[in-house]
Amino acid sequence: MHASDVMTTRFMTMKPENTISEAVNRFQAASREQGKNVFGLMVTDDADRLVGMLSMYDILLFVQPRHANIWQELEAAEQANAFREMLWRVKSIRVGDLMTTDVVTITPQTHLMAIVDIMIKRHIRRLPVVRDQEVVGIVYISDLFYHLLKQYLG
Amino acid sequence: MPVARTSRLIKYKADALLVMDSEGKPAGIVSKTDMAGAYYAGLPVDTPLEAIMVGPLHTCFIDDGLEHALDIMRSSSIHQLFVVGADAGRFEGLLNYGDILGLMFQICRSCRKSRLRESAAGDEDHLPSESTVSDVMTPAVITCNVADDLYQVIESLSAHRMSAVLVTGQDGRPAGVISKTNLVVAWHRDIAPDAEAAAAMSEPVVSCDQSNTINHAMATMLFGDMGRIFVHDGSPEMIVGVLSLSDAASHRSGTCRACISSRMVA
Repeated sequence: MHASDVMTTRFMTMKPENTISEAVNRFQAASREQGKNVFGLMVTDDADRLVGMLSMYDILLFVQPRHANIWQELEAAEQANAFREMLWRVKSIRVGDLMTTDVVTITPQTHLMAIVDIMIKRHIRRLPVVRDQEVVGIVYISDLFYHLLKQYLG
Repeated sequence: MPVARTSRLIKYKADALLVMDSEGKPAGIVSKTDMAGAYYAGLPVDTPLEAIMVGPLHTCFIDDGLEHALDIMRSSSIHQLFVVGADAGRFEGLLNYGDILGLMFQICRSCRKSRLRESAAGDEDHLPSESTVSDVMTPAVITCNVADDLYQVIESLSAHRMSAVLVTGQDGRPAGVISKTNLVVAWHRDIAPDAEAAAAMSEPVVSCDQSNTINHAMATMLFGDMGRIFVHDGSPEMIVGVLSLSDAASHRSGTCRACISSRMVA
């Protein structure tokens, strides 16, 4: 019952210098490849070391208008134009600007119950698996969930 | 992880970070201006926040009126106040000048005496003409060239107490904007302060026509999360002024006799 039993070893990563537009495309490609929605991706440097994580939430947080409560005052067409104009400024933002850098990681030998504990206590849905500074996999909460409950509930 | 501090400010589009002491009590604040100053001074991005934070913190109580809060902001030349409740050692939230303007704007838009409603009803003959951007804008636009280094940009922002500078290309046309947020991003990315302005500027330059109404310009700034908008004359390539959100709000306030709230930000 270790991380190595449930981790996904085929995963996509991004680079800090990727644009947010590239990140969005990467999320789509990763979801297609994994056959499920991928909400967060690992960010690695040129030496393939983990330097951060970027989630859809991070991007939405950034593109969310500051005065969200007044948007309802606009007509639909005005809203679309205003949001399009706002997104223009996102073009200069890179993955490295928004990613979370204090990433919790586990090793292939981390026990599944310890992973459950980390995910629950820290509200984490995906955990990078790192061995000797090299990313070797990722554990998704859904894989962990089905692995544990299907195996023992039948 | 020290870089997370700048990252947090960028990601949350915050104007400042609250610094807590070892006992979890508020110790000071680090604004984008403070970070730009640290960047100018050549401090590394992992400099402890304690080294650049300022204090004491300006606060208001959770049940204070907005007028009182605005008075504190005006007298202290600040744009945010920390809000305390019954426990003076614990902050309930942050009151931002821009958020107050957003609220006023919302109240005005939904007011039954709003100009917008009267216009929609075809009853605008009796309405006085609206102020335009040219009535309020600051005609002197601080500019720098794409080839200027970031030291010069920061010096210019500091000397004129501006939040953003217009960057022009070698042909003199508007090429981009460098705000304090852009400088924080540059610091975060380890861009050297002697790099050219082009390395840190954002584009395109968002501008409005000087014949636009103040209401229109305010809406553009509020919906675009901008603290200021550049003003052009006919063509976006002909920048003739700059309008700040606070100047627009101050001018616009009091123009409606029906509303006390509209006069608050004067």
